[in-house]
Amino acid sequence: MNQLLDGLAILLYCVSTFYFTLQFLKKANTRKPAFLFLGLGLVTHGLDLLVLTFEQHRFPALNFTQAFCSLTFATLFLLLVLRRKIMETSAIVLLPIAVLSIVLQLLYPAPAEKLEPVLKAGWIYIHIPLMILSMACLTITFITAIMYLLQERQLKSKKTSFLLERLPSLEAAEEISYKSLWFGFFLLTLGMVTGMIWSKYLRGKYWSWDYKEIWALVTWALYAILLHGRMLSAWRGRKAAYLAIVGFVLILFTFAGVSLIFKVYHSF
Amino acid sequence: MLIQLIGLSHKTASVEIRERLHIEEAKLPSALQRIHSTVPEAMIFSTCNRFEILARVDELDGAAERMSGLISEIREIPQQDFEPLLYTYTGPEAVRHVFRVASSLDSMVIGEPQILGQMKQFFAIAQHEKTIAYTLHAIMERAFMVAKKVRSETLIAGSAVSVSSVAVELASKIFDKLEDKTALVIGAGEMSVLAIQHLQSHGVKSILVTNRTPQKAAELAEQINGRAVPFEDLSTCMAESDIVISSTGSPTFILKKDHAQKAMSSRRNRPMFFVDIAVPRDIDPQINEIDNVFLYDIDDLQSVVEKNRQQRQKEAERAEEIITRESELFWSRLKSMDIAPTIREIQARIEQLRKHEIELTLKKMGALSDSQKKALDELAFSLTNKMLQQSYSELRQLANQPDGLEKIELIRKLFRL
Repeated sequence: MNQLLDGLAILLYCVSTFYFTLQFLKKANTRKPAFLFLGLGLVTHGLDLLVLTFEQHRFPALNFTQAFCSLTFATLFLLLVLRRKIMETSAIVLLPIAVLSIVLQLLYPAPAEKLEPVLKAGWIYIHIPLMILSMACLTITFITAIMYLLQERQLKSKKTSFLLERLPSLEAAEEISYKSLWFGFFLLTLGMVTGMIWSKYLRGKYWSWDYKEIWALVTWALYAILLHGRMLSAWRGRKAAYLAIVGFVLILFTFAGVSLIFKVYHSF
Repeated sequence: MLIQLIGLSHKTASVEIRERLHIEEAKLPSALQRIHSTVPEAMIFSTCNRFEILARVDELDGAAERMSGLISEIREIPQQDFEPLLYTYTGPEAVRHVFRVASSLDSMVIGEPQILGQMKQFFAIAQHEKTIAYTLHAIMERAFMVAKKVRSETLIAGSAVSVSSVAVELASKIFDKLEDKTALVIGAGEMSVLAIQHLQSHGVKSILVTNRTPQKAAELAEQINGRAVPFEDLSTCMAESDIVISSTGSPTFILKKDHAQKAMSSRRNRPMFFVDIAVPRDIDPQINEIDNVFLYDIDDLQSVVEKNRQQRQKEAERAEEIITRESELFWSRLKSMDIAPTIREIQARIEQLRKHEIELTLKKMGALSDSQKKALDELAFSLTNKMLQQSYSELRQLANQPDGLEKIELIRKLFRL
């Protein structure tokens, strides 16, 4: 069942990528089929994750590949709901990444029997989905920050190129960037708090100075500074965009890098 | 199929001649009827940039001269005044020309969208006056289709090609919505009025006007429905303006970097777009270095315009290819769908059939006298002839209806021609 859905989602995303590429290159007006196949792909991808959830009685984030796969789904879904124009421009990069995440999940499925004891407590139902969602939001912040910087450079240098027409306006990019930053930060905070409660319940202490925890704290602090700066000192535009990018790099490191370099009790 | 187009356009004639030939909409029906009385089908395109007559004629010899004589009569202009400027296209060339005009390849600004709407209007008038039948109907319908195809398959109408529309296009790359933005106009140059009107048509509602001479500011404010503000308040106005358009006659910069910096800090770094269309420039180019401030002067805008023009030119070449292909295809279809050859072909086919059947029957019947043979032959002939005679006149009528082309196609299918 899962493999069937996986295959179907990959196929639909590929077709959608094809149409988005045509649209991007302005070879033909294929916006409608592109979004149609994206929608169908998302439904399949979502169903796939739902089936997985029922099969393993856990949110599909038992290992890194599952979490990655959930993350790409959440990001695409949120982006589609938030702003289509941004989806349209970033689809040609995001969809292949989504396909990759599904392929990885197929290649490296979570070991079914051997569930780590830490994953058996109730708080996992809240902590992990919150973290995944917050990462999806902050991924969108990152994407829009990149778009902002590219568009800003085009406008400042007075070169009207290929990109100028395709990128969203500065205001739109910034608005989505700010909104997703707020949501992302809020969810990240909640996620970390639930993680601490879970830790207390499981290990008897809120904070273990685990590398994962330390880096998460650093990331959280950076986003807190960014939000603070935006609200109080009107940090806008390039400065805010650069910080959002640094924040995302930290997130990626905390999400994927830490587990590879250090030995931590978080499985990923 | 004898199709002819005769006319003149901005490419061949001065505006003075075009003005004199131009027929206003109210007078088009009578002019159409006048022309239609001499040819089977006719329609007129009369815009400020072109005056053309498209007609199906009975014979080509001297058709153009007769048509220009008619024009001279209708417009009461001596023929020699405009005749040397006329171009004449016949057959496939005429079809091609109509396709080019509809696709806006023959326009003064290539790719401008108005021409298609105008042609649709002339088409509607001719339809209403019943001065066109299936041939011109088919040509026009196809021309509209080709124009749509050109528009969707090329970027011929892709980007802005005037300074003020480029300014608006850039503004919409900075701002998401223009509706809630405020624009400030400094000075009263003609260009800035154009730019403001363009911004207004794209939704900008709040407009401030300032000038060293308060009187002038008030006048302009009234003209463009804005609010005049004293020149001394420039700094405070800037803080609340998202778009600043400057075109004063000042010999030195009137807006410097520190002006913009102050404005930015009081508007909490919300982006600002400065458009400097004055020569010599009004705005210190250094302000482009400030974060979230974007400055374009007249040269910057001009270079975007130039680039977009070149792009349109390149796209126009692709459009020409589409039109050549389409017009050739359509012409061959039109030619084969002519009613006269269709009738001739039907006759030939029936004749062939009759001969064949007679031969077969004679073989079966064995020995017959010559008079018997002749009687049989006559029977077959009068049978087919009587049946067909009726349908020929019906056919001619059918073909003259707006969807004649499709009907003839159907008939050809029925007879397997």
